[in-house]
Amino acid sequence: MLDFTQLNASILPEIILVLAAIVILLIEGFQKKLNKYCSLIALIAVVGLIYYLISIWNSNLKGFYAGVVLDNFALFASLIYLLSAALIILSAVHFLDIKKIESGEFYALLLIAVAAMIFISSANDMITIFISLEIFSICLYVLVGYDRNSVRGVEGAIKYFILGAFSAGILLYGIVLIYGAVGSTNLEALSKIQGLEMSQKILLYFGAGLVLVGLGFKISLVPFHMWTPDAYEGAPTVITAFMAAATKTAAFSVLIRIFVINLPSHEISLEWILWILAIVTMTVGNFIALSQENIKRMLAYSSIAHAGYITVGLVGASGNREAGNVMYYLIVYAMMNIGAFLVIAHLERGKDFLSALHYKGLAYKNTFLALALSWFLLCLAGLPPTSGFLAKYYVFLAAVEKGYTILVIIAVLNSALAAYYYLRIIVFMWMHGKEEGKALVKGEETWSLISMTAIVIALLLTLQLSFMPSRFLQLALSF
Amino acid sequence: MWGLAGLIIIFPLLGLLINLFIGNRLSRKWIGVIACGSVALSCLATIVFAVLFHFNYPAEGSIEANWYQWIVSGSFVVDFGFRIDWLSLVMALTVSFVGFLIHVYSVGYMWEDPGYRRYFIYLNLFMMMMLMLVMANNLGLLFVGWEGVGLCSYLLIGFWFEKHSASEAGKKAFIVNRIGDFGFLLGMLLIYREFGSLNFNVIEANMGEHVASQIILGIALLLFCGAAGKSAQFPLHVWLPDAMEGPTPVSALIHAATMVTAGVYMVSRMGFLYEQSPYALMIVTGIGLFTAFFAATMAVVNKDFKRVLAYSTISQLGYMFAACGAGAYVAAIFHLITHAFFKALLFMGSGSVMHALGGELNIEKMGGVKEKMKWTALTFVIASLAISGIIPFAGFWSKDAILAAVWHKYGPVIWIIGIVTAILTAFYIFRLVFEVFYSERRVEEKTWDHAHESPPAMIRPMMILALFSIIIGFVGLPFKRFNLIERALATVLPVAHGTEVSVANEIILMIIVLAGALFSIYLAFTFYMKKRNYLDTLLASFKKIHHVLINKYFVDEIYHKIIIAPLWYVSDKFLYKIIDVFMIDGSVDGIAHISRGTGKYLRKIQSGNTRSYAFAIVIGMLLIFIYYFWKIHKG
Amino acid sequence: MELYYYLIVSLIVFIIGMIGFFIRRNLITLLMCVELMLNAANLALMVFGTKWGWIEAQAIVLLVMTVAAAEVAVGLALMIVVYKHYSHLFIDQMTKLKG
Repeated sequence: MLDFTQLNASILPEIILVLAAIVILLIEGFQKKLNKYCSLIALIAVVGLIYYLISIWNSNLKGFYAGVVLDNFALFASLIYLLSAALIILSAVHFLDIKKIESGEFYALLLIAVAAMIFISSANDMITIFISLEIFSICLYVLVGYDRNSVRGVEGAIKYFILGAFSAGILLYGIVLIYGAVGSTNLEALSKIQGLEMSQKILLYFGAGLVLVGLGFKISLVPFHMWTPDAYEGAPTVITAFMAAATKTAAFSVLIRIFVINLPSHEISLEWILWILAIVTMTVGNFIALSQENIKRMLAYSSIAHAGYITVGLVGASGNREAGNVMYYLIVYAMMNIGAFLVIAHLERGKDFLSALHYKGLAYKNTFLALALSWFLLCLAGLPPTSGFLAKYYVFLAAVEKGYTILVIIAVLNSALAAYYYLRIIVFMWMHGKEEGKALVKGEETWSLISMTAIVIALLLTLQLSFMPSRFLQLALSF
Repeated sequence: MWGLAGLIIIFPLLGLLINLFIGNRLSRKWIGVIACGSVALSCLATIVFAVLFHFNYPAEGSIEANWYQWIVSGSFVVDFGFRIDWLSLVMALTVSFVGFLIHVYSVGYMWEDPGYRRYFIYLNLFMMMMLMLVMANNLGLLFVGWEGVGLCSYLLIGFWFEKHSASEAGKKAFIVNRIGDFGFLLGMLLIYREFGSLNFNVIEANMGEHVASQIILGIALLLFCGAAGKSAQFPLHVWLPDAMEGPTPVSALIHAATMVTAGVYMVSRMGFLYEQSPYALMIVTGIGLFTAFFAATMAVVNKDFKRVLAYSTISQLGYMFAACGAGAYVAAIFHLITHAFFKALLFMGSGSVMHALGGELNIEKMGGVKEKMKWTALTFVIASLAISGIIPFAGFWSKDAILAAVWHKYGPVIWIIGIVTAILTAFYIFRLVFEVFYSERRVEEKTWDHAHESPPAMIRPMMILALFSIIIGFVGLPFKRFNLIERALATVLPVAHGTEVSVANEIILMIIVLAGALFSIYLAFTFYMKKRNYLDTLLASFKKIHHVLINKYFVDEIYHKIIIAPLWYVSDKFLYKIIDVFMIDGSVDGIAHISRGTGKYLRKIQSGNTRSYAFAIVIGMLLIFIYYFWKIHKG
Repeated sequence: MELYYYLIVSLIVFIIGMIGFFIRRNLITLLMCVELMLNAANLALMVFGTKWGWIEAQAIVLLVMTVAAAEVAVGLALMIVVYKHYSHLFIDQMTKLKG
């Protein structure tokens, strides 16, 4: 029997975003002269949704026979995507303009990706998860290669695409195996399983392993990480920022839904796999980041290392509080990482200015930008009192309380090591003469109020996350 | 009302922000006024709060002023809050007062430097962080200040980044400090696990509960690891001598008077915890005294004016730790204060001489400088007398307190190391005095013609410090009635009871210390003033020892060999190259390439080959499967 | 019991797809290998759907095929752009991004 009450507001955010995307596509198709309003439409949709989502906090909407659950967890994840998307849209106006890239579909694809991400976080069914993952991945494949004239962009896109398709195959097979084991694709069914036969157990284990591989690819856990630096370097910088922040959050939110809330990792002896993955990921990420010259590549490896730290939070996580800590880490990570990328995007011009050496002496050309970038990098390095430190501290503390002391020792050692390559950039900016670096050469300066606004907003958000974190923390822990 | 104590920290922040945002429109004079003024206001605020605290003295001896809850996570709360008690007030007073004088001195010293504004921005940031460190009421906030001062120190050491050695030194300081911080952070995690809070009061209150003594020992040692990094104790002392690449006022402020003493402060603050673990105390004293002696021997032979002072700082910090380990936290803090005054003065003197001689640092190319720099010479001698422990200068009283405590706790054998170090101290510092100021002139003529006394902005702070180097010791006379500092600090710090030294004993100890110091001053006088040829014969007969000493016991070389080089090798060759190559080009071809091992191939790391990326994914997948097979097989 | 034979077939197809991914170099072939993997998953889905008596499994298969079609569409579009830049489709030779 069709029950129309099931078609409720639980997918309203996705509907709004997709409608906005369609409007943008129509404008792009038929009213070229209104093209410059595309970004505005996208921005209004995103910002409006942020307010809407906060207003429906605690309402725990369930729809489609519990296939979609818009609980606080999903709302918080959606908040991260929408905040990221808002910042990206603001910055992209300037960025696309400078790089002379056509803009229309850009915003449409971005909005569809965000819609799919919101879907994936509120999905309560593995098939929904697979399909939304595919939707936002497809949008991102296009966005990575959005600058058709850039060889690097196209190469990054095709690599990301082909490996993404490969990992999607693995993920789907994993989902099917889990279905074979328990007879349902609904996540809540997973939490009720008991008394499995041996054959079912084997299917469940291997299915879970495959799902971990498929999602590990998206969050770039070593050894599934190798596409990351290439795609990040090739993609337009604003898209790199979006991928690093939002994709990671989406995949982690799924991991949490599956392996923390519904099928705790220790029940399928996954925690030691996560333990090893966490260590390998952060160590490899940090070591390779040490020797990177290209700043985007360096941040790509740094994002791999951060995936490792976040995985520390997943190891042995068994309840909502740990999951909340991880979500807090994700919002902190999203904001500081986007902030850093926005500054880089702001400084980027026709030619690429992406070598770390180009940032020499930036502090004397534009103190504000240098200050902002330094702050974001300090956050990424996790020095107190920045939000990066707080987030790490929560996550590590939870792991220590669970008794994973060795893991935390390695993680702390790693973050000590990581500080080196972040600070190297800061040193370049503040401790070198005006004439040395090529970023912001006189006469080539570009100034954009909108893109500056994006940086300031990111700065304010990270400052709040550092010094007054309780509001966001309450939201993160409120499910 | 007590929440306003935050003003002590806010003032330098304001100065910093003004200079950062509108400093480029201000003249040099105003930049200096704002920077110095903000620190002066901090100092005044501290005095006001000290007076208020004295008249509203609370029964429990300390006041907590929380601004807000900074970190909240379940039961884990870190406040953004300050603790007002005699220890934090005395520390804040010392830091802001010495800091203010050094700010003023810096105006004169850095006047011509192109990085003038940047310098004062860093310096104000440092003051803010340092004051936060001493005022914090919990380890979390203390750690914020701790990292903050580390960052400033790093920025200021590398201030003259054009010099390669300066940026290298900055890097070294940073890395060594990270090793220490690692210990500190783990110590903090352990404290939270055991005591459920990072607030000093709560930790102290929960101290009585049964916590295994090994865990206390572990916490104490981890925290001490942090302290050793910050306060340059063996084996983490290597960064401090190199830190002298920074501007001299920075050496005076950060690497002598304030930041490096943060470790001593922290250990004293956590004194109640160290008291629970006799082993930890022994280790602290052991490392402290060893460092004191070890650094003093290196100071005796070094020819670099500032490095001698740096080794001297390491050595004096060693004394302070020795005092902590002997349970004499009051003596440690007392020595910390007197040391802040006379060591800052010594560095200012060296800066003044450098300023006059065009940046010369080699003491063999100095001599007779007194003729042109009367005030510098006079103040330097006063500071030297203070550090040598000559009655009635400041250092005498504090050093005496430390040595008496060591005698009491660990007996005469250990105490002798302290005495020998004291004798060495007097020797090397007077070696500087005679070599630089009094012996015959070895300065090049051209430089000599330009030599001149420093401007008043530099000389006046030095005079004030000289005055304090004479009188500050009187706050801690070794007789109960007159010992103001002990009466104040005993309300906060643990004091050993029932081991009062008898007056006669005390006087005998004093006389021994004094005699030793005077003897070695005489020795320095003979070697460097009267009979310089003695020195050469001496050097010839102890050539080997001299070689070891002048090379700083080869500690740097050893570190390089056993830590840095392998680390580089691992990251550069192993992880970055071999593993990646292996995973990417997991084919026979790849292995063949590795065996060829040409640099040309090694550039192909993250080879860009997509299929090998997929291969890595599958390898990972298979490893997970193998794990599961094993798991299922086991049942 | 004979359901397991189908499962084994599905596994074999999956592995063929995976191995094909390593040994072929042309992008289009790689895409076909990925399709093999997805179809292997579809077959397994049918098997388990029969086992659990769950008719929706067949609907899911259609959904997955739709997604795969969308993916292929984007993939082919990307390949056209790639071809414009490289004039070939050999994945091994696209190594501008590395290190």
